[in-house]
Amino acid sequence: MTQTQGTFRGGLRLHHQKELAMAAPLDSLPHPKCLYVPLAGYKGHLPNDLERALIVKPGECVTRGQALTKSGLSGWPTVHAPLAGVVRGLCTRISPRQPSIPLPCLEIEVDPDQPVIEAPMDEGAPSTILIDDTSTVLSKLSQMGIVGQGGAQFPTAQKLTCGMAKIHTLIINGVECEPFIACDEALMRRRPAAIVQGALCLARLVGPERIIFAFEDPLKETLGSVRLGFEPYLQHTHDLPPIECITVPTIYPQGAEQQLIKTLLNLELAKQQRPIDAGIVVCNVATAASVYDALSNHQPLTHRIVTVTGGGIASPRNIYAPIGAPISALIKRAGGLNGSVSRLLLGGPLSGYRIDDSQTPIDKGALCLLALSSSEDTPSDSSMPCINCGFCVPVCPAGLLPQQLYKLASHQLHESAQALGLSDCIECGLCVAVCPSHLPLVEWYRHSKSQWRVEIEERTKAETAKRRHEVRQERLAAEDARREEKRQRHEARLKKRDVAQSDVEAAIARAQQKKSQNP
Amino acid sequence: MRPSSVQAVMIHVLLALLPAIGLHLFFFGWGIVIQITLAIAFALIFEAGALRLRDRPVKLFITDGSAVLAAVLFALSIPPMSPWWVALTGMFFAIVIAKQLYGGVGHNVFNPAMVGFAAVIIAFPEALTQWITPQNLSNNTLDFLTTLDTIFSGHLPASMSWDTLSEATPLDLIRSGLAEGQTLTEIRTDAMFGFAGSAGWEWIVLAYVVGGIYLLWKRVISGHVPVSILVTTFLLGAAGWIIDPDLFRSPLQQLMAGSLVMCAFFIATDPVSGPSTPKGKIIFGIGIVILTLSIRAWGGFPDGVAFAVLLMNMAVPLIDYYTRPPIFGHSTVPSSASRRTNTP
Repeated sequence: MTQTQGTFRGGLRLHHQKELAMAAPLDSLPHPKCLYVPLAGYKGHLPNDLERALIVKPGECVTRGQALTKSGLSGWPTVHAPLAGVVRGLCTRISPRQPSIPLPCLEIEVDPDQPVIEAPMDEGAPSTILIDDTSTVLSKLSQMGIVGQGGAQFPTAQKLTCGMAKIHTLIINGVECEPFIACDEALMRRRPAAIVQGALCLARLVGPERIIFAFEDPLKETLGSVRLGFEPYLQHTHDLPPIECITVPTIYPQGAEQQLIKTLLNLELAKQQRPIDAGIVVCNVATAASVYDALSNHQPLTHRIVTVTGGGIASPRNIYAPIGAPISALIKRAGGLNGSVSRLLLGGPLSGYRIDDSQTPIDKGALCLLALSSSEDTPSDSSMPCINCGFCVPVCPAGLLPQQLYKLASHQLHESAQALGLSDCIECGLCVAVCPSHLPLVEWYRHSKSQWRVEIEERTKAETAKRRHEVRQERLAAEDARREEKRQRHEARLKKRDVAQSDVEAAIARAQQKKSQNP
Repeated sequence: MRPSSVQAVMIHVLLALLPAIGLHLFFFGWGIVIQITLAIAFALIFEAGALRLRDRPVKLFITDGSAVLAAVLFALSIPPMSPWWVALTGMFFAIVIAKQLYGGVGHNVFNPAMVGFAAVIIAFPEALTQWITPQNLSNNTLDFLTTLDTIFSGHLPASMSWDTLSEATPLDLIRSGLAEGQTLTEIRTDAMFGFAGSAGWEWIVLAYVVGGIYLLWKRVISGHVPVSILVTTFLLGAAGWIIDPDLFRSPLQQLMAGSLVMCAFFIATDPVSGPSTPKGKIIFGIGIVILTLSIRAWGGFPDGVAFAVLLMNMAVPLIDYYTRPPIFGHSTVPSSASRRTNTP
């Protein structure tokens, strides 16, 4: 076990608060009445024709794990029915991540008579999965609906193949640096063997020179080291490099890809560079476990562990829940809200998204439902202006000047904000956490980013329109010129004819003259 | 843990000023207490009036502590026996002109306390030189009521005169002495110079250092500006002193007399009117020192901190523009095999 020396720039050590959810054993969700299985994938990506991508009809009975959509659509892994039931049809829900864009979901009425699905456990020695044909395995991952479960939901098969560089390092990300979130820890304690085997599968797919398991340094080891559970499964395999376990300091946002790579490999990815372009694949532990399930048990990704926690939750816990279960069902399972809630968030206290509609379903990237009590929450009286105190500058992991970005964004100077590096903001929320004026900085950044996108779009449109107009003008001018030329040619011809005519007339006149002279 | 609200930031700074205020009281009598009270009262009246006129929430902004802080810093910069209209004028310029007209807290381009001070030193140059002799060097102790009477009437009781009460400050002594062709060694024999540069003041300067360390410990301010000011003063002071010790004062004298140390921890660290970037803060500090020492050596005023700060405030946008920290990943050249140790 090694401990990294350096770390990334910025960041903040925060009070862990994991024990809140870890105090209770991993729970399972009783069947909700209905599931709303989200159909959008990475960044709200939808197939071109949603209706035609569906392979089930309203009223049709589906079994647990049955595919609901066509497979093989690019960038869009198959969606499965988490539980048996009857398809009710398409509906839309509001996703906290993108409240402005309605999220299309497939409503399934759950059959109440089926047994409740428990979170799987490691059973005996896990089987080693050998990979004979990479492309078959990759399409299998897509067919099983495997996406990154650290939050972004990027399709795993695509992640492994989209880069041009040779993969030299595979990082299994077991770092949950944001306070309160404990879903990965719950999984790591329950299924270390599956995670290791899943990671080895991924390693066999990409053939790295190093395999790194990243853990957090122990802050409050009330339940003993997470890593100890992994020890029995870390034997050397003949075909792969040994697994290196590396402990990283628990500094938020350590779990973010760029920051983790910086800490582990001391490599700073260039602007807009994906890890895979630098030959690195970072995979969340939950993704590794679901890869194992997909390849060894042919189990699609239909459930995940969600942490339901915070001072506003009556009895916080981790819940193994089907994808598509409404948020309200999970909160109810955790004893409901206890009345002191100031904010309900999807995600952690810093980077989470505010939940407005409790009928919103959980998706494959839902880590945590957090009900912050008013004593845990930072006050939101954002009526004080920025005093430029600069508390946000040393904590910004992207090395930005958050206070200046705020001033530009709030004055609608989106282009200047971009020039100051707003696109490099990872929206970690640390600037908000330290701001003495309690300004909703990240909200301003998101606003400015989206406004900038609109502006760019409009500019491109205007540019296209201008070009189109210019081309039209050119075409018209060319046509005019051609017409003019034609006219001139015609005129010239006419003139020629006129000349000829006058020659004829002259000849007739001459002839008549001759006639009259010689009667 | 950092202070969690704007009000907490201001309260920390006010707390950090307490030791200096206490020593001021000890060396110069009741004057400072009355000046602080007056300045705070005027500041709050102006702040409330301006907020009302600007149609802003009065209670919210009046309780943020920023006006009170500007008032206390101003009161600490003027002679303790100044007549009441000095505080009135100073606070009008500080709060109404420098702060509220620019948009209130967080929007002022110039340091309000220094705008106030610059206004009064130009408007009332005479009153601003009437520093009373520190009480450890004189037998004339002014009681509370006499002090109050002097400040409110604008002149001393008939039995007293400024000649007996006040004495030129070390900075004034150096200025006039050098003008008369004396060497610094001769000038420095005056008892006003104390052990390190200025009797009485040197202790207050140390109290500012204590307050500044408290602010650094509470992480209200970053070390960039204070370190930059103190180090630059010392280096520049030493350079001048080595060239001609009879013409240029020693680095210790530069630091301990005048208000550079107070400026280093309490004035130049004002976040609103100062730069945002770490590098920018260092440049800001260096600029203040160069301007202050230049004004001390060649300018028309005995001390130049206020003008130096105001001039550097103007340069802040430019400094910020050229000192942006590197953004994550921007210094890296994208490469596909940057970490490959061995090729298979």
